[in-house]
Amino acid sequence: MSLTFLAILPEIYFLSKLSSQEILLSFLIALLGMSFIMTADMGTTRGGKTDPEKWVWDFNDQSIIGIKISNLPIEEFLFPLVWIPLPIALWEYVKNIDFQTETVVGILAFSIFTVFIIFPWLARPDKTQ
Amino acid sequence: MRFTYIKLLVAIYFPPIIALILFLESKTDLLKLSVFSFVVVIYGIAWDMWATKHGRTDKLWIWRFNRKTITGLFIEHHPFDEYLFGILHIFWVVVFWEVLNGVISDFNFKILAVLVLVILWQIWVSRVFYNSQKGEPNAKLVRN
Repeated sequence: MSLTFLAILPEIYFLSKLSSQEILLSFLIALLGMSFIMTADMGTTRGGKTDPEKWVWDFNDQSIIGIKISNLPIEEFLFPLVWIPLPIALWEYVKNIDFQTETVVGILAFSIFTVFIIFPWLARPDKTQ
Repeated sequence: MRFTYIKLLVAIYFPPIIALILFLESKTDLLKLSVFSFVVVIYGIAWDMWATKHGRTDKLWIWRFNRKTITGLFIEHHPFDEYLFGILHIFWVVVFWEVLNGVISDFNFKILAVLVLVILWQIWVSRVFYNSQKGEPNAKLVRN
């Protein structure tokens, strides 16, 4: 839960660069997105461990605060509230910047470094069962 | 059922993205948007990897994937389906935003109708998927 709040910090920073109308619109899209993302999310966790042919992902009850809506942890409802306004705010921040080719190459290079150096560290082999 | 996750992603995101791209203003740089989606997803996936990291030696994990319902393709031990979700989701968000901004700055009933249809399509697909996933509610998890 605390890490979910950490994701909100960059969102607040980049949203502060938008106008109030743009902020309202981004949260309107977040609410619209929530309507189908949460329904699909409830579908992916439906079935539970009793039907291994159905469920797509499953939450660890030890790691969530324990309040559930239709069997979905309440933390999950923060997903569209973060991952819809945040990309919008980021996009508005970068879309009018005329990036130099070197900058784009640098960003992509750092992203590839992340994939091949940071990801293997995060994804140690023992994580998958 | 095999490929449940990727089928859901294709149904819920592909038709809306294609429909929205058709109504994007020409000034929107799709190449820039693609690079943007890729870069944002890379950093979003880092969080996913941390959250799904688990095993006998790990103390904490938040969720895990069922290998029977994903493609079975992994990039750095993380399901390919999840990378695809990230890219499609970010792409959908920004394309929807750009088309909505176009409607606000220059009202066009046809494009507004497309936006409404896109959301209705996604709600309908998610509802059909939810109804198809009948089963017992999640039992309390037992650590492996």
